[in-house]
Amino acid sequence: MLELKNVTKRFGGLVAVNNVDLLIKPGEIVGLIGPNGAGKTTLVNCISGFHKIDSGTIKLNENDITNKSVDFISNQGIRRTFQIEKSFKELTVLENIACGLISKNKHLKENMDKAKEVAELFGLNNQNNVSAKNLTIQTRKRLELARAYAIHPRIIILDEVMAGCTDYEIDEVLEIIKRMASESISVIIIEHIMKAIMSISEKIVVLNEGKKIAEGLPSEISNNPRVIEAYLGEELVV
Amino acid sequence: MSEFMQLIVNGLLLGGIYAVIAAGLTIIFGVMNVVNFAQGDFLMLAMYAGFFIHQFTGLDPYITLILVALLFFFFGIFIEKSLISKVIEGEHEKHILLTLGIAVFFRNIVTVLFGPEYKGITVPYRFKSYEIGNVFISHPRLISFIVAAILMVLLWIFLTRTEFGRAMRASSENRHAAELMGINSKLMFVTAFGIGIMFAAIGGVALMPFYYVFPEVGVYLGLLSFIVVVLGGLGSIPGAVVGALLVGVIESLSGEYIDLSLSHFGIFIIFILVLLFKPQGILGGEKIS
Amino acid sequence: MIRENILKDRTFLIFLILGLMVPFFIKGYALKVAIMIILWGIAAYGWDVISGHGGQLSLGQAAFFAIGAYSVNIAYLSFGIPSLIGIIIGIVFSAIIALAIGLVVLRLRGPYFTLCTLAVGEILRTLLIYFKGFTGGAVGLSFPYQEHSFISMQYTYDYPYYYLGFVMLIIAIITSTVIKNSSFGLKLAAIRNDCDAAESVGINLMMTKSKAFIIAAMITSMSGSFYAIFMNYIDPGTVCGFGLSVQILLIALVGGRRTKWGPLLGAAILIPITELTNAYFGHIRSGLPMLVYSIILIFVVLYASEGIVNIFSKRFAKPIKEEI
Repeated sequence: MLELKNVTKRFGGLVAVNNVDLLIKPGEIVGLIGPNGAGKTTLVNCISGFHKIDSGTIKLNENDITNKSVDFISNQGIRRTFQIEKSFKELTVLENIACGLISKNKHLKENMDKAKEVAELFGLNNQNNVSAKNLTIQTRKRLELARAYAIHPRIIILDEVMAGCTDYEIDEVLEIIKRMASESISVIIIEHIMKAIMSISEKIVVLNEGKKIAEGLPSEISNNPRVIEAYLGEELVV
Repeated sequence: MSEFMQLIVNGLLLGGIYAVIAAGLTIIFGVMNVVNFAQGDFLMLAMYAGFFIHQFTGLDPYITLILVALLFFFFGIFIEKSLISKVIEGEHEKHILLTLGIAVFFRNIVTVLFGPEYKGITVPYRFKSYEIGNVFISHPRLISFIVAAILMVLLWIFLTRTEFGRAMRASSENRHAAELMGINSKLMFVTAFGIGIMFAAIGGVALMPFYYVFPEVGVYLGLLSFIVVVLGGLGSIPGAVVGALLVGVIESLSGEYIDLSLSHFGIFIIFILVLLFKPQGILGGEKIS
Repeated sequence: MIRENILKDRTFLIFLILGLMVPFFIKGYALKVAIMIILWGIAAYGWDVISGHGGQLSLGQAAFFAIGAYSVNIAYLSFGIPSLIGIIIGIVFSAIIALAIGLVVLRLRGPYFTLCTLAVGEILRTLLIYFKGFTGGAVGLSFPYQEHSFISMQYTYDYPYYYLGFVMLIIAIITSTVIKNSSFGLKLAAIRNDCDAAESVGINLMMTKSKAFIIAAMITSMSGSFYAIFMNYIDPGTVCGFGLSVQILLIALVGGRRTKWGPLLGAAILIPITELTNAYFGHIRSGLPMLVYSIILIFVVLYASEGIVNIFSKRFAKPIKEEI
């Protein structure tokens, strides 16, 4: 269970994340939406340790992980993908996934074997020995996802993992997310593709200008006037 | 006390020249994102050029300065077009290795052609100085400082008042956006490098009254310019000025109060400390400002 | 990265056997050159651990080379400790210094790190000159001949030096290969490719880089000790000089970083060039070998930066079956 209380992050004079509370249960799928610049990526950067927060606390299963290092938080069971994908370009698909396992297990062969299983799960196993730099961007994003999943983390954060996907690819990713949730992995999704995020999330959290302006079921959110206003007239299509 | 003031004044005056060299380095970094490991060695070459021009033509050192400056502006352009441009798209590692190779090449071609012996020029006004209060201001230092100051003002005008200069600043902030605005990156790179090398050359010639000319002279001065740039913030010209004055003073003080062979040591330690605690530099900033 | 067991690798075994036989066929000056190739190869393997596998470009490995060299000399001259122990002292000392410096220097990335290592090398060189009483200052130390014995590692002929060096070389090659095929090597590869992503999968950057830095220092120290033993004379300018750092960088770069044979191959190419240059032109001007080096460096950076071994293995690589 992930608990954020009064989390605030400032960059000089700009308050990027303003007093945000958040509670995420095991296996819960939470969608994080908001206009550009709302602070979504900054918030997940705070959770994953890439930004140090200025006030508030972040707890994972009662353990305080506020302002701990990125690798510490990662080893507590929080894994993520990045808005601009960060696969290891010179490494192969299997090696990339094995990297996801490496901090917990020193045996390379075991990691590589497990990586093969994960690659198959994600439909990557026909390119096991291809270097990431030779893959399409969509495949690399899938790889990043596989790498984050490999260790069966407690929480996985997906930052715009569906950007640029075709409808079919979106459905594939939704399936993957559902499967992860069924394995008690909490999923935090940042997405702009409303159809997708509304359909899969159990709960939606809306940020605007750093503040949480709404939280609730997708159906409640799509009718929330404050949310609609934040998007400046964009109609939310469910 | 007046001795202390003397050291400070000396340091500040020399710092002016360091500012010029460092400004060159910082422009190259700001616009091209290239770390020029050969800055000190271009400086060294300029010193040799100045030396030989003075030797064979007996020209006044200040005319020599202008000549060398122009010469090295074009030399910089030549190096950029023939070598640097080939690696500019890559990561820092290639920049480092290439400029390193250039630096070592310069150092050793000079050794091979002219030998490792120290050379020096003497200027008739070498020991002339002015007295203000309890402090002696040496004429060569003062002139060098004035030259440096004029240069920095000219640079400032260029970067803020001319369209080309503004284009360069835009390019250093965001190359792609600048390209979309129609700014020719290649031209920016070539110019930036030319200016950067020209400044190193001017710095070198300006330092000739104070330093012997020998192949390794660029090593210390190059490292010094890096320290200045890091202190002031990579890409920041005001930072380079402040950093240079500071470094000049530190160098002057530590040369006096610490054993001479350790004075360099003091600078290195400061360098490492700055890198550790404030890698963005005292004034910060990643673009030319 | 397929896990190889190096002892089952046929090429390595052949190398081992041929290597052991070398002094039977090669003597005199050629044997000296072979010994130099081995010496610089070892140093290059050391550099490769931090700057190849680790991806952090170091221009200060000369510092550890010097620690190895001076440890052996000072251990004997000041304390009467025989060379074999001196080598180990050097290695231990280098590891400790690398740990300490690493904590400071490894926080920096890219050019900042490189500059810092340069500064470290220069600082050590300055210190070596300053503490003349201990180190002989700028004049250096020479190693007086004591006796022909194993533990003091001084011999009247060259071939025992060859075998000493060969043993060290084997250690270096095995270390390099083990790193490449281990989890540790994968962690380094991750850091090399993307630090942030590496951290996000739980890799501790400092600890991993530090380990690489220490191992690199130990191997470089070993080569420095070997240098002191073989050359009988060391001085700060040579063993702690920036030129040395550049030389080992170039050797590893030319041969191919992160490869089993790259650093050795690089040495095998560049050292004879140095020797030839010195032999024919050394009396005219110093600086010619470094001049040649710099031209090679520029050429390699522009056109062959992966190194010879990698270029060849790409030529003959089996095409990988891909389905997009």
